[in-house]
Amino acid sequence: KVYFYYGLVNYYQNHRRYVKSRDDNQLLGKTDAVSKDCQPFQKSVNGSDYTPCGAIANSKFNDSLTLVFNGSQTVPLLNTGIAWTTDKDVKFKNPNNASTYFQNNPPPPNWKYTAWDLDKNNSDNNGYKNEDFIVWMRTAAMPAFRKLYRRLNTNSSQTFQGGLPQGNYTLKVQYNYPVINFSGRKQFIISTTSWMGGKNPFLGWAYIVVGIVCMIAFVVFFILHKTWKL
Amino acid sequence: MGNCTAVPTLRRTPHISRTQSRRATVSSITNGAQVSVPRSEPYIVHHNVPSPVESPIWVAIKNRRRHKPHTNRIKTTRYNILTFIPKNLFEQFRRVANVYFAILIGLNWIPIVNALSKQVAFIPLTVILTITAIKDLVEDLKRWRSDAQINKQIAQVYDKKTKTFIPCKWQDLSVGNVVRVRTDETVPADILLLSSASTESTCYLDTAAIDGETNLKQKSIPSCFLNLDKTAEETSFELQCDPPNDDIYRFCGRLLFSTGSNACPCDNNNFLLRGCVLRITEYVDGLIVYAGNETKIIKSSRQTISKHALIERYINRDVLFSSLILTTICLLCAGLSIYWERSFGDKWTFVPFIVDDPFDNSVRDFFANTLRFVILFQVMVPIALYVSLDLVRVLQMYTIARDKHLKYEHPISCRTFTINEDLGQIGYVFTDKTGTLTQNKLVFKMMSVGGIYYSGRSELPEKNDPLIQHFLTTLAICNTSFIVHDHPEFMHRLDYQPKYEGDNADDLVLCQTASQFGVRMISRSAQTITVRYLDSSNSNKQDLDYDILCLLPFDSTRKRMSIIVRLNDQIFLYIKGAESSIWPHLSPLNDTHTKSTIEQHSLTFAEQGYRSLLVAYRQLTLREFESWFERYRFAANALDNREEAISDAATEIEVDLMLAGLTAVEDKLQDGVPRAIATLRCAGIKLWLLTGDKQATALSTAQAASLINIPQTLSSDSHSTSRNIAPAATAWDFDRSAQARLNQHTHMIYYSSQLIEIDQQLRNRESSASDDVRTEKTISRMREVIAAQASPVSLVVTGEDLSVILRYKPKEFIRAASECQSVLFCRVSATQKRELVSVAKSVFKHRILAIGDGANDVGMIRESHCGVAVYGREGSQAVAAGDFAVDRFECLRRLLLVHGAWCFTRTSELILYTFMHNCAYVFVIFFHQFFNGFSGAVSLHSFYLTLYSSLFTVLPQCAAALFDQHVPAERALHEPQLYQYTLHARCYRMWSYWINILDAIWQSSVIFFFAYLSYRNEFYIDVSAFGFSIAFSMIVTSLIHVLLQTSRVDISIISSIAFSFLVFLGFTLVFDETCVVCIPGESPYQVSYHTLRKARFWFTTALTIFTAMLPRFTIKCLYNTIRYPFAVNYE
Repeated sequence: KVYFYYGLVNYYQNHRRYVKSRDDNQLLGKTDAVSKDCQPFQKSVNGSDYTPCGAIANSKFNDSLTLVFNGSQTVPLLNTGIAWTTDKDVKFKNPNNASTYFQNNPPPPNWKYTAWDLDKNNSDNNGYKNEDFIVWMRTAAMPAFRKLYRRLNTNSSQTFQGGLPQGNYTLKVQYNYPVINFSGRKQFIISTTSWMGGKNPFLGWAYIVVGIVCMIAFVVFFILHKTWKL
Repeated sequence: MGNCTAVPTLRRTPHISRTQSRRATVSSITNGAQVSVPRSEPYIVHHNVPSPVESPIWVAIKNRRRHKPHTNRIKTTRYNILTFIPKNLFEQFRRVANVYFAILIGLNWIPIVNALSKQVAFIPLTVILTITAIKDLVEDLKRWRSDAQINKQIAQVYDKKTKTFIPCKWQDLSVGNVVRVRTDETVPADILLLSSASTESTCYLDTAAIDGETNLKQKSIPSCFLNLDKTAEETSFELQCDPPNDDIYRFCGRLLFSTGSNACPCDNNNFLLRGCVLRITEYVDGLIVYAGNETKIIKSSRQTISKHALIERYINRDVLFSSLILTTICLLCAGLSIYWERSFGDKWTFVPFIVDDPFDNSVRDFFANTLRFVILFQVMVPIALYVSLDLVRVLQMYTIARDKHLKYEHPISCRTFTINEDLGQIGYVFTDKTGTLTQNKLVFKMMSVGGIYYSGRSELPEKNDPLIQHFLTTLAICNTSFIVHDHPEFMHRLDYQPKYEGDNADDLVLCQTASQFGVRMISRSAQTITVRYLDSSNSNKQDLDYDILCLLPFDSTRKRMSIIVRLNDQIFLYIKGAESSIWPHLSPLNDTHTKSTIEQHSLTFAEQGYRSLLVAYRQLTLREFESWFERYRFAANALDNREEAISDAATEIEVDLMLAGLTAVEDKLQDGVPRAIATLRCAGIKLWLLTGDKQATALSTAQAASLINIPQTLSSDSHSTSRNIAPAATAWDFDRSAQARLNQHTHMIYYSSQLIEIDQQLRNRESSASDDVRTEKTISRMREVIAAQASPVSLVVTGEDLSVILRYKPKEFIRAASECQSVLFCRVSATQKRELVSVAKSVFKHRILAIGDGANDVGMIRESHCGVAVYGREGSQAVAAGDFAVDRFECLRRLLLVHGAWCFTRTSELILYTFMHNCAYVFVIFFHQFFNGFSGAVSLHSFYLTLYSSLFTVLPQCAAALFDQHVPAERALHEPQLYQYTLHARCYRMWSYWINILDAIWQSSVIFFFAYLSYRNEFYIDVSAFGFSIAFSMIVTSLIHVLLQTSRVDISIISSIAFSFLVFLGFTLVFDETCVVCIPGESPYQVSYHTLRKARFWFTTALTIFTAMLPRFTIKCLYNTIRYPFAVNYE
């Protein structure tokens, strides 16, 4: 199984003001007036609520990344199955008559198109239920973070049945998302997963160091126990 | 507080003194008109006197308003239906903690300051307020129910129209009504006796409901009602007395009759308190003086003593440190926040996560940021600690009260819930002797009459010696005992032995002794005492009637009592009292040889630990008596300072006394007292003995009680009689060094006498030097002597010297005396005891415990940091005043060494734990700020933030605060030196706080940075998951931390930890399953389920918790191994 991530560095998705700027009820498909938390992305100039509202939604990551194998073959990627199924099933629902609703209400100012245009090919992955959107809305804990972007479609072609074969890969980036203003960096990560998650040597080192400290303490205590008299 | 419980103050025979009394009253009125012009308006009750005022309307209204609540309805409830919520809330918000919480919640509602979810932030305060309110409501309902029950009781009230007694509910009685109380009925209000069914014009009362004393008390009718021609109900008079007050042992009033102008005094002896039960007497009638909420018993039950433990001073100090840290990090974060937001410059509009204009209004932003951080970091100042401390203390007290080892007849009773920890920090014990160290169970041992010892009746000479007769008569009648006749029909029999009742144990035993020696009081009324004299062969009797002319009661300043009686034409004054109080008043006519013999005997008695009283008499002429009695009448009628005036008057007649003899009564030491004192001494507690007895008695008791250890040859330099007390300290089961210390001989220093002898120069100047200078010199000399001694020093001070010291150099003296291992004060009065404690309180670094059983110890008990009362035979005034009440002195041993030490260590652990635990939490949030632009965001959702320090972690720390034992009880008792650990607060010092803060910073760094480093590259760890895993490590760390902090691991702590963990886990799992949009913007839906499935989470958490604990574990191990705090290091 191969996963593709995009990473953002120096991006404070956990900023208090930013994190709060959303309305979970709206994302549940309720069409009531949205919460004031969404400010300043609550209402458009003409007074109707943004769909979806809030700073998080407004700043959704919108670069499109494609990977080309050996200069010719586009790596087949799946844009579903990347969000938690519980999120997709419970926390995000489209309102009734989604298409007209999204047409009648303005998208966030930074969006070029409405939420109903997020995935035109798959109505189950459209609107609030779009998985890219759901992944983005699950805000990151730290200013350097990675989010799941796509997973490899192993069924569509023979080449990628067993993962990514060896060869030259070209990453094509449709650059929509500016990060230069806050000295941010973007990353693209291709990774498989193990039972311990992604590659991170920290835990291993930490265990070794703490183990050594414990050994030293053991020796000291042992000697003290044998020799120290009150 | 008065110290005469039911002492008849004034008794008078009508038929002899009627003429005199007329004159006396007239004069007293004319004088009184000048003297006792009421300064503050006196309290006046009219009986059958029409209200005299034809006053302007506004005065009438004023009066009405003032006198309106004089019905007998009692209301002890604090609230009614309407006022409950506002009043209860108001009361609760008088606590600083609640106000602090409320202000922070209010701030949280301001949009720009908002830090936590608005709704969730309410939860902790609401829960605290609700629980307290429910508790108050339940208590108030209980009170309401009992009030209703009491108010609906039926009493008999006198109806003026029908002139009969009709039933009436208690609540409908009012001041000025006359009520009738029958046998075994309860007195409905504070009443003044008007008449009694008994022929002696007295009545018997059971006051167990008021003071817990079981002996019956006798009260009598005011003398002026005795010879009325019509019933008291029909008489018109006005009663002037004190306004309602809470002193249940004192009542002073004056009756003014409308017919004639004679004023008649009435006092506590004519006064029945609400709640007493009438016994034996068929019925009494009384005038209601104070009713309902103004009755003395209700007034006195409302007073509360507020004492604060020393440990609260440490808490306040550390709270101050914490608020400094809080202020620092809040200002730091607020400043950095402004700096960070501005660092993006003009381009901020293109930065997606900068939503508001950072250049808008930086002053407001800075202010708002600061407040937001204060809300976020509020637990850094653990105001909730005061709440949990209160709770824990109440429960600690409950466990102490249930300790079976402290229960003899009564279980220990705890009245003050705020000073548990002080029990572990007692440096000085001020103890009374009689009844506290001794049993106060008196046994007559010997008497010395005219220079000859007698210990039994057979030793009396055959022929009637008038001296012996006088001596025995004094014993028989000079007291306030009364007689309960079980079989009055046998009174004429020769061997009739009546039963004596009374509240003075000395009196009773002496009265009984006189009876055994053949001088038997067989009946007694307010006017007459009949004494039966039996001859030596018990075959003939002779009954003599003594008319009581005057009775001058005992009080602790005069230390003597006397009675003036008339037998036929002779008037005698019989007096008995402490030696020092009578000796100066002896007549020069006394035989010097007898005097010196008696002095010698007195020393012998004292040396054997006997209590001795001197007996004397005086024959008076009628003229002497009459002229004196006039002055006395005036004093007795005074409304102000009556006791003093009477005492002065009494001193005038108690002169020129003829010495009769000396009594010796033994008062045995209580069981376990020597052992308890030895233990306390080993524990490093210094004992100061304050007794009213004389020096020799005090010394011998101190020796017997192992308070001092004087080698026999040195101590008895002037006394050659053999002592029956073993001089070597008894061996206890303490370890060797402690025992060795106990075996050391005590070097006695006698204040002033010996010191001045040593300092010859000073002695020469003694006459010229003023008291002031002399005291100073003596004290400095004393300091030198004490410093020069290698062996333990004991100081002996007498009451006379003490009064000089207290007047001039109290602090210097106490400072010098605090070096002594023990100090004995002899012949001290109640006031001196109290003053001594109050001075010592300002000098000593350590806490002072005062223990006593009598009324004369009340001042000392109240004044001390920790007052312990002993349930005794001297009444229960001390018990009412004490913070603790125990059965025996011995209880102190366990109370201090075990419970005190436990309470102190437990509470200090709780306090340090709370500080450290809250600080760790604050620092975890603080570290977050470096990674979210100092915006005040936290990855933990609001429920974790608000419940972390309450629901999730409060239980184990409370369990530890209740069940932890730093040493087992047996060890604490066998190695009393361990008390030093808490006495010097070794477990809670200045640096303890900082060590815990450092540990908190370590733990929070480990928790935060391990998670940060470990989850860096994990895409699935979003804000909520990160928050959950941090919360998980934080809570588990704090739960396990309790185990590291306690000295003993027991099932209650383990199970409370397990329970708290399950509560946390259960809460999280249920919340994450059910809550989709509960908290706006922080929905943790399914987060924990996802996180708990990850192996990385478990590996990280395990390592985090282990590493967080590692330093404390290691250092504690090292410390316990190298410098074991409970090892024997006696200083």
